[in-house]
Formats: sequence, C-alpha cells, structure tokens
Amino acid sequence: MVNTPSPSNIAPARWKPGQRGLIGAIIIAVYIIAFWQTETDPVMLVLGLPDMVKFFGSMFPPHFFGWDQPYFYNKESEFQYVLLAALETFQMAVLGTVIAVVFGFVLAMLAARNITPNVFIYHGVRTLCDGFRGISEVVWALLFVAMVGLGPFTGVLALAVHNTGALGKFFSEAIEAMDEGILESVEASGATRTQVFFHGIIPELGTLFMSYILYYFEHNLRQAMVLGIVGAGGIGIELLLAMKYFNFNKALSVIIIMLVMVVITDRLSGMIRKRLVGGELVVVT
Amino acid sequence: MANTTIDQLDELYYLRASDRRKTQIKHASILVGILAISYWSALGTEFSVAKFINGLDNAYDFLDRSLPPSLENAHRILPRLTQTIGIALLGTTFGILLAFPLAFMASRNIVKSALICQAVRLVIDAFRGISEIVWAFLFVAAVGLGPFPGVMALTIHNAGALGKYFSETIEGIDPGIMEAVAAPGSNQVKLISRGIWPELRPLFTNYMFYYFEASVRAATILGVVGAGGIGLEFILAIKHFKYPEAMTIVISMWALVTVVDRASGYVRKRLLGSELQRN
Amino acid sequence: MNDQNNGRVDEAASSAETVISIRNLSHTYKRGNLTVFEDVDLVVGKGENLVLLGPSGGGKSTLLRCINRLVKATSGTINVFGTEMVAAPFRKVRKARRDIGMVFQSFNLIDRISVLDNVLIGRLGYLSTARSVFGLYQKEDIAEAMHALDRVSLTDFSQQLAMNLSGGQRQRVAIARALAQRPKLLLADEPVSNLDPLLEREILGLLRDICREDGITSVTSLHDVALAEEFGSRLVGVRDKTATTIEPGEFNHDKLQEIYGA
Repeated sequence: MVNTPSPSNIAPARWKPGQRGLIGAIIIAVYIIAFWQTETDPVMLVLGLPDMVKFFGSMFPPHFFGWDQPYFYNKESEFQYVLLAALETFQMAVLGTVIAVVFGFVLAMLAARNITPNVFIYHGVRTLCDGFRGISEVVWALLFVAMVGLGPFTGVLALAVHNTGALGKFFSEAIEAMDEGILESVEASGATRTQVFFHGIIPELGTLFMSYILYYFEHNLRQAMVLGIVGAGGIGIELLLAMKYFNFNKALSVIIIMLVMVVITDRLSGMIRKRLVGGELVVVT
Repeated sequence: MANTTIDQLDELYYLRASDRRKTQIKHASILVGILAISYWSALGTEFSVAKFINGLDNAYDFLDRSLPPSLENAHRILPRLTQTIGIALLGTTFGILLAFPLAFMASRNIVKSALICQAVRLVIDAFRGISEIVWAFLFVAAVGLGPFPGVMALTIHNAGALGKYFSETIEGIDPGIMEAVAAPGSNQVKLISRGIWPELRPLFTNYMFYYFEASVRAATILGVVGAGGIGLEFILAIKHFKYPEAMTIVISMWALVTVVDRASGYVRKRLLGSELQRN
Repeated sequence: MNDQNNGRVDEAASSAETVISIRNLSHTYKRGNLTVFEDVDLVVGKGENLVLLGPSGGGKSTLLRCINRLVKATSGTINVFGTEMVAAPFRKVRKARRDIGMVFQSFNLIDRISVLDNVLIGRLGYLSTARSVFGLYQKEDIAEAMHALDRVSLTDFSQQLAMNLSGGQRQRVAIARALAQRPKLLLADEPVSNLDPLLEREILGLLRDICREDGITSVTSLHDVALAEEFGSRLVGVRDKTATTIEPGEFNHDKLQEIYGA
C-alpha cells in the first residue's frame, strides 16, 4: 500500500520556487518584528555582557553555612530550612503528579473516541483537558493563591489541575491509538468499562503510561521549584528572598540544591524508564 | 477431550496460584509504596480535603469578582501577545543555534575526549535543569526588566534541553554510517553535514517545533518575574486586584497557546510530509 | 426471495429452541454513508453451527459483531436469548455478552501477559468490579480457566507469555478464553484466516467438537467455501447487502465459489 517515492509523488508537498521566495520573505519579516517587539539588539547584548558576567560572578562562591541576614518574616535563616523547603518541593511534585494521574485516567477514559459513552462527553472532556493544560501551572498557582491563599497546598492544586489536563490528553490519545481488537475482545466477554480499563488498557499500555508519568514527574519537580517564587510553596521562595536581599551567594547555593534535586531525579527516572521501555522515550507533543 | 485428570488440574492450579501470588504481592507493594509516599507528601504540603472544600467558597467568590472578563485594557494585551511570541521565537532560534555546538561537543562519537564530553554534558544539564522562569528571574536581576532577559532565559534553557536531546540522538547514530562517511578521508565538518545531518533532520525538526510550542507556553509567564510578555500584564492585574482583566488575560494566554499549537502542527505536517517522502 | 427463505428457515428452527432471531437488520456506516447490509432476517436454532459465507468486506464480520453489539446496528432487532441487543441498555448487553463467547481473526490476546491471565479475561463477566480491579479472581474462576485450557490441550503453557506462542496456539488460547465464559453461543470471526492453511481444519474441527460436546450454538464467518461446506451445519451467504440462506440443494461447490468465494 506504500508507494516508493518517485519524482511525481514528491512534487505535491514541495514549495514552488515562487512560493519559496515569498515564504522566505515572510520569515525574515517575522523575525524583524520579533527583534523589534522584544527590544532585542545585538548591541545591547554586547553592552550588557559585562553586567551579566559581574552578576553571575558575584554569586560565587555559593554560601552554604552561617547565614545571618534577617529575612522578611523572621524565620531563622538556617541552611536546614532550605533543605526542608527542598523536601517540600519534592512533596509538592509527588502529590501533584499522583492526583493528576488519577483524574487524568478518569478523563482519558471519557475523552478517548473508542471508549467514550457519547460524543458530547467526548468533546466536553477534550475541551476541559485543553483548558487545564493550556493555562500554565504558574498562572494556575496565581489564581489559586488569590482564591485559597499562599502555601504549598496551593502549589499542589496548581500542579494537579494543569497536569490533569496534560495527562488526560496524552492518555486519551494513547488509548485511541491502541489495537482495537484487544478492546473488542475484553468487551466481548461482558466486562464493565472499569474492567476494560484494568484488564485491557493497563496491561497493553501500562509501560507507556509509566514512562510518561515519570517524564511528567521530572517536569513537575522543576515547575514546583518555580511556584515558590509566586508564593505557592517550595524552595522558590528561598531563592526569591535571597535575591531580594542581594544575598547572591545564598542564591547560588539555593540554585545548586535545585540542580542537584533535578539531576538526581532525572537520572533515576531515566534509569527506570530505560528498564520499562528499553530505550529513551522521545516525548513529542 | 480432557487430557489431564482432576488431580493434575488441581496441582497445576496450586502451582499457578503461588506464581500469581508473587506478582500480585509485587504489584501490591508498589501500590502501597506509592500510597505511603503520597500520604507523606500530603502531610508535608498541608494538603487537606477540608481546606479544599473551604477553598471552594473562596473560589466561588473569586469567580464572582472576576467574571465576566473585562476588555478594559485590551489595547495593552495585543502588543504584549506579539511580544510573547517574539520572545519565544527568538528564544527558540538562539537556543537551537547554541544547542548544536553544545550537542556535538557532548557526543562521544564526535569528540574523542571523555573529559570534554562530561564537562559539556554538565553544562547542558545545568542549563536544562534550571527552569526557564528561574533563568528569567536571574537575568532580570542581572540586566534589568524587559523582554530581553526573557529571550536570554529561553535561549539558555532551550540550549540545554535541545542540546541534551540532540547529543543523545547523535550518539545513537549507526556507527556504520559514521565509518562510511569518514572512510573517504573527510574532515569533521564534512562528516557532520553530509553523514549525520540528513539522517537526523526529520527528528530534529519535530523536536524543534515541539520546543517552540513549549517556549510559547513559557514565554507567557516570564513576565511574572518581569521578563516581558503577557505575564507582566497578568501579574500587574492580579496585584491590583483587577480580576476581570486578569481573566481576560488568562483567556488570551490560552487562546495564544492553542493557536500556536495548531499553526505549528500544520507547518510541521507540511514540512515533514515532504521530508518523509524524500527519505 | 427473502420471504420464501424465511418460511423454510422458520420451519427448520421451530423444531429446536431459537437462540438468535434477527429481523429487518440494517447497518450503515456514518462515514461515507456506506450501507453494509439491509433488511436482513435470520433465525438461528439451538445447536446449529451456522456459517456466514462471503467475500472479505462483504459485511459478514459486521453482521457477526452486531449480534453481541460490538457494532450497534442502525436499525432492526436482534434477539439473543431473550435480550434485544440493538436497543438494550448497556447493563443488559453486558449480561448477555457473558453467555456469548467470541473468537477473532487476529486472536486479540494481550501479548505481554500470561496465557492463564488471558484466559481469565473470559471470567470478567462473572467477577465483581471491585475484585477485578485487583485481579482477585476466585478459585472457581481459575479452575474454569484451567479446565478451558485443558479442553484445548494447552495446560502446560498456562504461565507462558502469550507472545511466545505460535499462531495456532494463540488461537487455541483465544478459544479457551471464550470457553471460560461457559458460553451458550460462540461467535467466530474468520477464526482461521490468519493461520497456516494446515491448521485451518484443526482449529475449525476443535471448535466444532467443543460446540457439539457442550451443546453450544455457533455462528462462524468464513470466506473459504470448502471449509464452510465441511464445518457448517447451515450456510448463509452474505454479500451485496443481503444475507440469504443457501439450501442444501444449492450446495454446488463451483457455483458457491463463484458467488461467495473470496
């Protein structure tokens, strides 16, 4: 059914020479507008370089012990609090991911064309997932902070909501792409929808799901660190405060801790994923 | 048609039962482990369903105050949106440009020295491991407010992310192809452009588009830390309690992301369609 | 022509209990407005081994799937063991499906789990949802599964992963899965089309023997005329949007091959 490409087969998708010029011009125009809108300027870059070097240089050496600058809300500015904040960040990522997985599966079962009860639910849930996913975790966090207040609880909510959309979308696409026959055979034996999920979908797609969940966990850990900057819990707040009080050395140590967390998680998750899928998983869309 | 006696069946059953038990116990303990970690996390993050339910009241109040979305300052939103796309575009472009040399230097099959590879890998990991927003935060502290630090932040982060992926792909190339191109005595540049690039182009293109879409998402919030784009308008609206405006901005963010996703998907299809046929 | 056939069909079936009663069944695919069959009338009596004969794409697989509502027919009625399958609520359909076992052309086993676990899927209709979530099958379920594997002579393979089995073995596992349901009706959709020609008679013979021993009614779809003649107790030709019973008098191999051959 596949035709080997011959010159006549390739032609339709190619740009005609005249079109090529036009597209080239459009692209150049787009870039010029981009440069203008973002006030980006090679000159600025060169001029700004010494400032940047000075700034990043001032962050070395990282300052890990004996912090004594007063903080805004009277917390003892000890290193252990930063570690606790790091732990909190990890916990936020875990809980946010777990909640998102549970609800994501539920939504996915409703949003997959081959299992959904009816068309309205399908479109409704799809749009819901789109909406959840389209709004960034940080924006969700800010909205939730306005609603519920500061703290890691808000961060968990923000992560959970955003990821429910992302996982719901991805899971449902995986379900739609799976071998129909297996679903048919499980349904044919008189199974309920839940049974079809646990005995047809999970055995078939389980490892794929696991790989994606791990990938998203890595992503969520990084996002959780950021949420602290807007007050939704985690280590971000320590970074914010350090910068605010010009303690660049402390800022660097916070960043180093963040990096260590991320690298360890990436490596572990990568190892588990390699065992599951037998190779690095390429995440596209 | 029974080939085995009842006794044999029973014996087989008990054998199977213990095998099944083993896998069941393994699965059960993983599940328990996950539940335990989740519970511990819930404690640590002060998660409580009660809080959530109380929060619903506040949520209702909030929605009441923020709907219907207001178009009061719409004239400021539009230019910010184009600025956001601009930041994402430049951030991705420069990120790609920076990622290539980094990736090649981090690949074992191109650079022979293990030391250089590890060092560059570390740099790539550092660039990637720090979120774009944190980078933006740092660059704003370094050079001041505005979209420029945003572009820098995306550049660095994307260079790391793309660099990591690129180098993994390069390392995964069939060594046979490397040999075939090296045999006639070509230098590094020729090796790369003729031997590797054609192989990699479709995969790389896919990834670059994916990262552009991701960059647009990131660019929408860089403004929250002062690095330009629509995030700036958003944080201002929130800080001034102008919730209806904030809602408009949220909706426009979502619309922007959706439009970019669709457009990027379309361009990707057209580009890769011809690629696949050519290959 | 349909009326005449109906008369004779009813006569044949009224002596035995009616298992399936299809009236005015039509199905049209929404996409492309393709009508697969129109106004089909068919009655299947207990113990019959009905064969739906027809070329690939002629609609026999769709007709078969309407019986256990894997495909929801656009109009008409199908009565199976007293349940009206086309319009019934999902709950009732599920319950009816317990009594209907199905074997597929591409086996549809889950490759990465064991043979036994695949066969146990047949018991899902008898397992409460709560238990099934954790895979807590009862002792009876496992006994039934092993018994079913014994009928197809694969008890030694119960712990093997399905992916390690040959095509013929896989189809036998699929048959065991259907048997584990203790079905009263067995549907087989081109069960041997993906198998080595040497295995065709073996598998079809296995199906026929088991159905005979257990008093199971079967409906099988095939495109090979010779196999249909050998293993079916009654033939129904499906093509050109209709289903017509082929009378014993019309069993002219060449003519059938011409009309219905693949």
